[in-house]
Amino acid sequence: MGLIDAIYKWLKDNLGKTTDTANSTGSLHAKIAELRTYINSLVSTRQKPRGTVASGNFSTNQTTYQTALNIAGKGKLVGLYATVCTGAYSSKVKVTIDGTFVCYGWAGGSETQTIFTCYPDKSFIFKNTEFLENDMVNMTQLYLDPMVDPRNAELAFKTSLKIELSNKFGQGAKCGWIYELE
Amino acid sequence: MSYFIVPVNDGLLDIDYYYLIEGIQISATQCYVALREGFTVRDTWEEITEEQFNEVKALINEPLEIV
Repeated sequence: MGLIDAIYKWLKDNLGKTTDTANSTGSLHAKIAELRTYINSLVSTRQKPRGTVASGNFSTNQTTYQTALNIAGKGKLVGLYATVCTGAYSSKVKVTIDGTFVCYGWAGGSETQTIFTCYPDKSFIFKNTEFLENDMVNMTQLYLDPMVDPRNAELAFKTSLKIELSNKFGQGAKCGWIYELE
Repeated sequence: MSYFIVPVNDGLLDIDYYYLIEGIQISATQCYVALREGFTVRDTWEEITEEQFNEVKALINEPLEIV
């Protein structure tokens, strides 16, 4: 009986009960509960399946930033393009996530054609250097510079997403987007 | 889909952007919009027809050929 008692006690101490409280140093049941709690904490920080997928576009002939999109919620901007219209030379999009300016995008063109820039296309420029805001020439030079890496931005948002659009001479600019919300 | 002329205040359209499908802005104070269903009409909006919306699209230059 002594051996059986010892085995029972070992099992009781190490396996524990299903009702054991989560504890990383407790019984096996307690450890599993602790692990479940940890996994849940990880999963809850990841993007959930999408509840809403919406697309749209916006055109303007204004030379100051106009708000093309302004939404609240948690989700991800999964597609974004900017282009210019006939007679225009450049347009800029400005992306603000959770109230914080993140990056600019840029589209440039000649009189007859435009360079298409679309996230996540590698040629889409996302730069957060503040001087680019007021200096299109510098932006153009950076774009043409093969040494510049046009980094893409992380476009998941927790509370809000805002896209603004402007064009340089007022002939017209257009941007479009696709976003997902939880 | 419904079409409206909506005010623009300091670059911000007077709409719930969740419903924006297409916006055409040709002045600093007004924007022509096409909205998906579910929106709530605001007093400041003026409803227009699809034909009127398409007419104003012609006032802004076409996007250039993409290369």
